[in-house]
Amino acid sequence: MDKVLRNHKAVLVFLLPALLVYLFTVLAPILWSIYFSFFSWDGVSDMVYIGFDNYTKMFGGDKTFWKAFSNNLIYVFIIVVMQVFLGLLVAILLTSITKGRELFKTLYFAPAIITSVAIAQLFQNVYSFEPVGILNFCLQQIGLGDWSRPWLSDLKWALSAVSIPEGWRYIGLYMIILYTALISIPSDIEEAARIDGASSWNLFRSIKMPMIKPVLMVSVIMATTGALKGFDIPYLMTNGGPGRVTELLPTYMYKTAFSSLNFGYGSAMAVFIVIESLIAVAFIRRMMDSKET
Amino acid sequence: MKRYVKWLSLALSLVILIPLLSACGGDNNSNNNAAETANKGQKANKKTYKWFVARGVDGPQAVTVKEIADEFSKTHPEFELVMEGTGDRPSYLQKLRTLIASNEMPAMFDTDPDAYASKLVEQGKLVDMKKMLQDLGKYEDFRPIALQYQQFADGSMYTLPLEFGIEVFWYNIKMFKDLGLEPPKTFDEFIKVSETLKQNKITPIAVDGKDKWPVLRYLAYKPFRMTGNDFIESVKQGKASFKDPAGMAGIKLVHELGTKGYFQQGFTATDYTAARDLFLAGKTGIYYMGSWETMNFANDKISAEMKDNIGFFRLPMMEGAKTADNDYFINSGIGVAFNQETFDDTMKEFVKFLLEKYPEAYTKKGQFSPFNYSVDQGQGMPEIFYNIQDEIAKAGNVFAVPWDTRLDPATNELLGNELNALALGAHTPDEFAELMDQAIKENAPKYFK
Repeated sequence: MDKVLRNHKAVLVFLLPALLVYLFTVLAPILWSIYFSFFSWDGVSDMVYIGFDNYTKMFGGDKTFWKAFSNNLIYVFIIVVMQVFLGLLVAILLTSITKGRELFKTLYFAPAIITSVAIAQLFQNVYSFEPVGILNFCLQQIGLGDWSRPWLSDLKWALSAVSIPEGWRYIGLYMIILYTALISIPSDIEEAARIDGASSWNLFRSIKMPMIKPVLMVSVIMATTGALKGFDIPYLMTNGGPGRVTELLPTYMYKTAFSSLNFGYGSAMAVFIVIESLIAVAFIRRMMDSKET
Repeated sequence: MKRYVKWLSLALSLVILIPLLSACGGDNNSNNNAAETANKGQKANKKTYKWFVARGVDGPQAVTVKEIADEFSKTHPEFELVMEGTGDRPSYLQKLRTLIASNEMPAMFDTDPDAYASKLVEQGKLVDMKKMLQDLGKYEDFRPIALQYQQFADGSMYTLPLEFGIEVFWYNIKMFKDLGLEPPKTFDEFIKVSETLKQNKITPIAVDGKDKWPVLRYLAYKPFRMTGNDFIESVKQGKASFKDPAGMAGIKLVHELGTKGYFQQGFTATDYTAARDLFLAGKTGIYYMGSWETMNFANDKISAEMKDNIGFFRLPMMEGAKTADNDYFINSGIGVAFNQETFDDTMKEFVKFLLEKYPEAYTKKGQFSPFNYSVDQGQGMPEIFYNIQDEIAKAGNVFAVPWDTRLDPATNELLGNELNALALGAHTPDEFAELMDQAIKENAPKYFK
């Protein structure tokens, strides 16, 4: 086998199919988007070359675009906090129990395998006001009736309300990743610290955290990029509404291209999303490098 | 040895590559373009025609057409109709437009006579339906409004209507009686009725805010009463402004109904069936919807408390109205367009056959047909069906056009979103009018040249 791997041509032959698939499914659409973004095109008439007009419109006058951008940042924040930090919390709790660990792991992981459509339906019922959904019902039962509201139609709360289901569904996934990292810490390090008299908090802060940091950072990157391209649940639950309160860049891009029939402008936004995701990953990687040294 | 390893790796990589390549090739073959298969001159010359349906394929129109198509296939074994349905309208339009943009227009598809369809007509992609119906001698068999509804503003027609409906306000008779309310005749009374219901802890109106068009209807009521369809026909091109009296009257009505809480709380996230169920469960007093729901309101479909408890009233009037009280939203639904490229003799035969069979088959399903065809009393239809049938016979000949079939796609998209925000109080009426005028100024010139 070593001989095969040493043969560069053989390696290339094996890598080629994957590379072709990658070029065809990832790079080609991006290049097409860049090409389309220089045109004004409604899908029926002839394409008209308009240079950078789509980009000037995007960065200049389009308030909805910037509204969607800031919504997207809030959406990313809520999701990363929920997925990574709640995931970490649950993972730590899991390491401290012995009985029923497998059962809890399975239960917490279950939402990750439910389809988006089912989750959107589920939470629509949870948030419902008329007929009263479970969240508002519980609030009324515990005497917080004033807080009950139509969450998905509330101009202040709708964005949080659509972010939470997406965050909730993958808590289990990050729990598994972080749990695996936590139990892979050699037990002798932990014992040595205990003998030296470290409290649980000190043990966590000074020993466990640094040891799982690489995994934690990977989790943050995954959660961030996942949230940046967030689409399905907000689109299904509120379709960006009411108004533009829950509009994210991907939903706005999709609607611009396929409902408003402005394929050129939609493509320009798609290009922006690619660049934005690349910047986010670069930024997080930088943070990771600087903290490790 | 070394050589074998080389061969082995090459063979393995081929094994990986071949399925990939064949997968790419397979895609082209499965593309069932009727004209293409016909030209190949195979022996078993089956032509498959695809109908892209804007509803579920189990709706009465689709089921009736499918039954007739199956019957037609018995005498014309080469003909096969395949249907693909998408219930949710925004997704349907997105799918359709993407197919058309990638040059894969289906043989038949549902479309309104909207700005997008007129672009297709300009490109010569659709069959002239008016001419075809005249050639077949069927033009006079339709209700005049059913055909008018399918026409573009210039009177040309490219879509075939398959249904017919009037839109009314359904109301809960018992609820009204208990509070001593009469069905409102004017908008002032309409607001008063809503207020009374609200004060008695009943949600006045159930509305489907998720699909957007039902709220859009509320915006159009007053402008229709004040100007007929003149307002929308001129405002869509920027020749009128939403700040005109007609526009502001419409905007203020939606703003008032929304901010005073006359729509159910959280209406922007309520979908079609959920809104209807609110009304059918006796939770709201009023529900605006078309006569296509009639059979769902029949006694055998609803709960015991709602039996004989559903009435309807017409679109309210107002002072100085230009349209009569029997003029309101009447439509013949989303029509079927035929792809010029795949419209051959077999297809023409089929359309002829369809027009013969359709009126009776469709009406027997408890639906109102676009043809001059009605069911006599005592044919086993529920009472509410006959009531609506009578109302249809009394309807006037000016009908309101749905705004979403008139505006350009980009303005439409914006309007749908922002109208819900207006009803929630996120915009003042003046801000909203300004927003819409801006949108039309930017988007309309591209569509209405």
